[in-house]
Amino acid sequence: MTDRQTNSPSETISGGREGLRDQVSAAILMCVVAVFWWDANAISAFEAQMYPRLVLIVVATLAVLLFLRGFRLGGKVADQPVVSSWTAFLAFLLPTILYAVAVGKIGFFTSSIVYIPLVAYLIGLRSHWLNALVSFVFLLATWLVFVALFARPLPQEIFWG
Amino acid sequence: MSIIDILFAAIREILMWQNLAAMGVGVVGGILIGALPGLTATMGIAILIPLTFTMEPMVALGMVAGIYNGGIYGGAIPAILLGIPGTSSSIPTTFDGVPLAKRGEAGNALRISAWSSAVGGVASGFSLLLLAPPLATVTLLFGPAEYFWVALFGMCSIAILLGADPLKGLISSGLGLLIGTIGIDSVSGHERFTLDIYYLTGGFNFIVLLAGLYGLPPAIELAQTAISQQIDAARTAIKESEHRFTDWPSLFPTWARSSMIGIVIGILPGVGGTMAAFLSYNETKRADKDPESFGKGNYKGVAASECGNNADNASALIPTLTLGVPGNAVAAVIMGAFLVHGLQPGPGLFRSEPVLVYAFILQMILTAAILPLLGGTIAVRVFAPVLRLPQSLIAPIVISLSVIGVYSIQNSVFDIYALIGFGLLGYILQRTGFPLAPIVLGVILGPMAEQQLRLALIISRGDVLSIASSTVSMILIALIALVLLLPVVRMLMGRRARIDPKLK
Repeated sequence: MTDRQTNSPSETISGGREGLRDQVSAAILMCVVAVFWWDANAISAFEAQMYPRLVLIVVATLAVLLFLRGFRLGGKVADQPVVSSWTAFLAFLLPTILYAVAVGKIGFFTSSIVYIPLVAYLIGLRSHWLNALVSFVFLLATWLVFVALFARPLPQEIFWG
Repeated sequence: MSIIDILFAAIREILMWQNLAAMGVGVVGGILIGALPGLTATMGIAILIPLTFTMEPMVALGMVAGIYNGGIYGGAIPAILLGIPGTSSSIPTTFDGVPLAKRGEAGNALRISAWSSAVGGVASGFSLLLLAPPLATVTLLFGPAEYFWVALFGMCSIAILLGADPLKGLISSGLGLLIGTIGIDSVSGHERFTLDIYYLTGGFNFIVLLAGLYGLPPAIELAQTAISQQIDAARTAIKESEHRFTDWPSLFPTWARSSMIGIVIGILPGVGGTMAAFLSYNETKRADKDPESFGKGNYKGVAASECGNNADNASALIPTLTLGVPGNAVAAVIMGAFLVHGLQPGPGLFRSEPVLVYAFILQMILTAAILPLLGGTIAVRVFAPVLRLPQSLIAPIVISLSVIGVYSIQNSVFDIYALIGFGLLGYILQRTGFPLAPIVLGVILGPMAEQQLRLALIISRGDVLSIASSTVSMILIALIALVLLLPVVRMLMGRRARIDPKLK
């Protein structure tokens, strides 16, 4: 019995088809190679182009092999989906991207004091006192190590900088 | 300066209070990181390297050694108390650790795991001390061509042997090589793939790449499993049995066997501590008079697994320190810690910084030796509240720590964006079956391979064949061919086994 025959519908939804996934990965890789190859023209010296082009040829060849292998794998179900819980994934990722931007704009501690408890809440923590306590202890420890002990310059805080 | 003089100088250095404190903090931090399921020693070192940036190199490396040894041991704590291995190399520890904890012997199991980890770690440290210096002397004879082949061998072996899919491993290596070419070409001084972005002229900061690839994917994983895997606080209680384990001599043969297995596995590129732990466990079970008792709470099972996975630690650094070629992911990250402090691992380091190299080797031994002191039953009681921390809190804390860490390296907000970018890339690659270690290795070894290749070609006046003409080069090319052919051989053997079931 082949893998295709043993796959239940739910498995197919959760894991996705490995062959197709590999082919998509290979296609993205080929695009990356194309962009790099095109950008390599901007390198003025040939000697500096040689090695990156060599690497690009190797990656492109491997991407083609991966694409072709995708046909052989066919409908075989992948071990795990790329994202197992979209809600948790987005609840974590979107605030994290905003946080990365905010750190430079409003300061590390100001943004962290919002980010840590908010994300913990969004991904399931309902004990508010624990959330507040751990966030406070972590930020205090961070301040002690990075500011008080090692005097590392951090982004300007909007409130108490 | 003789070896003895260097060793004594190194001992004097590491016994300074700053070094001792750094090692202690590293071990405790490592145990905590290793004990938290989902976090690994590799990730711990990757996100804590920026913290060591302002320290003296020896103090920083002491902390790294502590995190490494502590992190690998730390995985045993939840493996025994919760049945959840903190790291993959602690999986065999659950086989006997959990039954022991269930019959009220968690304290004994933790004591055995701490002592076994210490024995394995110390034995591995001595193997590094004895084997690395002579190997470094031999590698001093290597020229640019040989170094090029060594770098290529390192990348191929990790790409092929580390992951389940050799093709994806090789692609990961290629991606790493490509990322490594971004920035100014070290030979000609021309900019490559910088897209006119000022921050990219120096290339991506290696630590940012490490923190992104190893820090963020586990955090995203934790976020997704946060609700379903809340740790039950009641289960972390450490029950003390009426009888305290005292029959230590009965573990000596297990320790000797597992140490040997761990050391050999550690030297082999791309194999790692998980394999060492499984092999040690299986061999101990096979050699025992009562193999049936394994999996039901046999002390030797815990001892074999923990001794085996820690015996891999220092010996995995032998290729890193002698050739500058890391043999696994954690060795690559440790190499990053050396590079951050302007130290290029390889035979040259034994000549330029002998005291520092020997001090690091001794720090590996010392941090392993203090594991029972800092990670025994009493310490675990102190750590128990941390084990109860919900994963929903750990995930944003890991991100926050990574962000402040990478920012503090060169006060660049661009590094924070790069961190998030590499984190997402790492997560997607990992989930689609592409291993991450070959990327790191590609970034580390790529520039070295290119530099040595171009140097070899300049020396030989463009004669391409000359880079494969020496005996060492030919041996290395044969090894590369062997590694590249391995998946084909495996595939053919698998096909034969399917045709003839007796071969299975």
